[in-house]
Amino acid sequence: MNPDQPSTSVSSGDSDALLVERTVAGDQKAFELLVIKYERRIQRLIGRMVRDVDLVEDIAQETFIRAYRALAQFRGDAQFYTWLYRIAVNTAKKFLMDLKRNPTVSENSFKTADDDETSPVENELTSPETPEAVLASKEIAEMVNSAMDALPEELRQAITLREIEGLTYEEIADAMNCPIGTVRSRIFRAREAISLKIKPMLENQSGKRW
Amino acid sequence: MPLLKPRHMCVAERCGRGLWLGLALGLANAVLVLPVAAAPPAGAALQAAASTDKVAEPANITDWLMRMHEASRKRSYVGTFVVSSAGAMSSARIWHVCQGDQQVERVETLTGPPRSVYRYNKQVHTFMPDSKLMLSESRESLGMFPDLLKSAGSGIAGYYTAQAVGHERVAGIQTDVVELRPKDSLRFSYRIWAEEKSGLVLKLQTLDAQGQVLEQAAFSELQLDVPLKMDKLLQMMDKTDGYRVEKLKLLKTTADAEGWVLKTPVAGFNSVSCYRRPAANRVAGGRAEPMQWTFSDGLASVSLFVEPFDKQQHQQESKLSIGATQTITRRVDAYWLTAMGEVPLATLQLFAAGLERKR
Amino acid sequence: MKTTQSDVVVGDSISALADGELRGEEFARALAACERDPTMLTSWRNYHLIGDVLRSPDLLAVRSDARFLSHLQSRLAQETIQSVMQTADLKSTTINPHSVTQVAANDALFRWKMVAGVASMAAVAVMVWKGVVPLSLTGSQLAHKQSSTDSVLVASPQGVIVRDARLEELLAAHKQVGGNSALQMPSGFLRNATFETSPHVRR
Repeated sequence: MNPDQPSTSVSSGDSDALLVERTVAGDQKAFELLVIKYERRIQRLIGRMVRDVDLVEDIAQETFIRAYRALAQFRGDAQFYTWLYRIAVNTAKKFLMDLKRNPTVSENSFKTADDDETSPVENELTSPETPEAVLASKEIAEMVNSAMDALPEELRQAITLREIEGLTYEEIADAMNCPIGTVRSRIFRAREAISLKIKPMLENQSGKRW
Repeated sequence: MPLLKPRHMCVAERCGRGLWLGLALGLANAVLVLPVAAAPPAGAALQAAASTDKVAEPANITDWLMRMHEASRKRSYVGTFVVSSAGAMSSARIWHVCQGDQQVERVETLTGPPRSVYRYNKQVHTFMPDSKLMLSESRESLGMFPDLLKSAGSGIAGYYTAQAVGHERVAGIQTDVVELRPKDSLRFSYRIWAEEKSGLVLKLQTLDAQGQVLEQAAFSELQLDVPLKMDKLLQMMDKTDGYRVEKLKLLKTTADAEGWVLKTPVAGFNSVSCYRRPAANRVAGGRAEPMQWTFSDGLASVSLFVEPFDKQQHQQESKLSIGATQTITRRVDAYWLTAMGEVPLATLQLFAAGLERKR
Repeated sequence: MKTTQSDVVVGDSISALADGELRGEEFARALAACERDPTMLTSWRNYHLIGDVLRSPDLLAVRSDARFLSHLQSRLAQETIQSVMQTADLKSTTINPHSVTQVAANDALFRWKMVAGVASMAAVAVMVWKGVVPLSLTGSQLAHKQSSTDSVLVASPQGVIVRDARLEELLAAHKQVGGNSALQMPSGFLRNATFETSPHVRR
């Protein structure tokens, strides 16, 4: 399954609803939270269609701006990410069309004329990270996994049900037979434990990491 | 539904608390057109309004205005402010800090030429990076709201009614929406969105008799009660390296002393101030500055600018609308009048008709 | 994490916010905390990073840093302003025959169609009477000061419009002294003409 494709198992739709509502009411900060949340996924999606890294970023910026402008028309009947995804694809397509019309732009800027939403995740990276940075990324991924392994059972289960199965707190409370407050606390503690381990690694990454 | 006071910054610095209380007490009972039980007497309403932390339900317009005014004196915030008028729009970022009785404001324009304006109580510094000029001014010489209210006689209440019309969110913040409607056709209506708890005005619309929005001023984004530091802003205010500093002065005068009278007053509007720029500020060969005679009914104001008639300059009488501000120009004796105000054109015509040179 | 009375933010709020499990007051407070406290934002970022990694590890390879958001923020600020205007009742305003034509917010000339009174929130101090302003201004300002008639006709897509420097000065003075009196929002204090004269007003 293409992880970039919006799927109902990662229930981003509901969790975004309030932030969307807040944005429409004029709260730009709420939108920024959504941006942070989806930035990577959108950039990766676009990166499959466009090779030039700076262009990827431009298109990603443009995607979020368009989403912001059109948000008032977004009816909460679909998931926000689904909607955002489509905007990203359309924005990238348009850029590509415009590029093709411009004879001075090199062919290397884009990959294929048609978008390929369902192409498998490529091994080729979409960002010109140095080998060291690539290695660091892999290390972070490994650290997350080992941090997960090191978690107490109930914390790991809670965060797995949330992040991978996409269950709501209520559903998790049912599954784990505990109060919702406990679910909330467990997920929080799981995240904190993992964060603690990866934070130093994040700081070492190319300076501008969070 | 409480009447809302506009979040007003320059009023804040001008108005002492004592003056406000005096005004409120001195006014006749205003009648709010609200689906509420009988309004309490002015004194009780005043007490309710004075404790601004509670969700007060003041029952007359003046208490409302006071509540709004007080909110701007108590709350610090940072926000983006947008004014839209007749299809054009301008915006600025605003930092507003209150500490005790002191207020500091910083405004950075986001549209148009870059401007940084700082206000510390009455002192205002305007920085113009494009011309490296800083204009310094003290605002005590300029029109003051409490004075306007005082001179407005029976006050705003005599000429407007207030109606609660709902609740809405502005910049993500819950507000009460109130409409102020004129009792006659000489004025415009206003729609005010005031933050629920304190009455801080977040959005304001000026509407004409047909209910069309002439102008809107609103925060598009706002953070309330931000812990800003006054000293930082004060430092910035005095940073004039590389800037030429000019002090502006205004001469306060009276229409009478200038030789003018408004033979037929316009209902509800009282004379508020009269100014002329002192000769010292004039560059040799510059044109004579007009006298500016300002009136107000407490909410709306009208300025009459009078200068000597000049055939070359003053070629055509005109009527003009710029958002909520209407303007007419015409000749009066050997003078040229420009009447300007946030009132219908007909009202300006009344002013123009009543203006006379003293014999 | 109790700070002041008005922003009691419980430690796991950001985590719950990320899962869309906060409502009402708690939601609002968590958002407010994100604005105020950068560590909250870091948590938001990290939690989502963790989620991304758990679901698809290669997401880590995608470059993602503070720059993206800060570039976006300034663009968003402009967008916010425009969207506020577009959703305002103003769009239903019928045009007073004497008033300035409505212009599209993204009209190329938009920036210059500032009506005197609202132009650039540049506040105050602006009794820019002719002759008071020092002559060492920029060229365009100087040209205005020296023109014998202050009216300049300009053809535009909206028709012939009149630029009247004098009017703008008076407007500035009016706003400064009177404006909307009791209802003077920041705009009362700010809504004064700029030093530069560029009003477009149709007669």
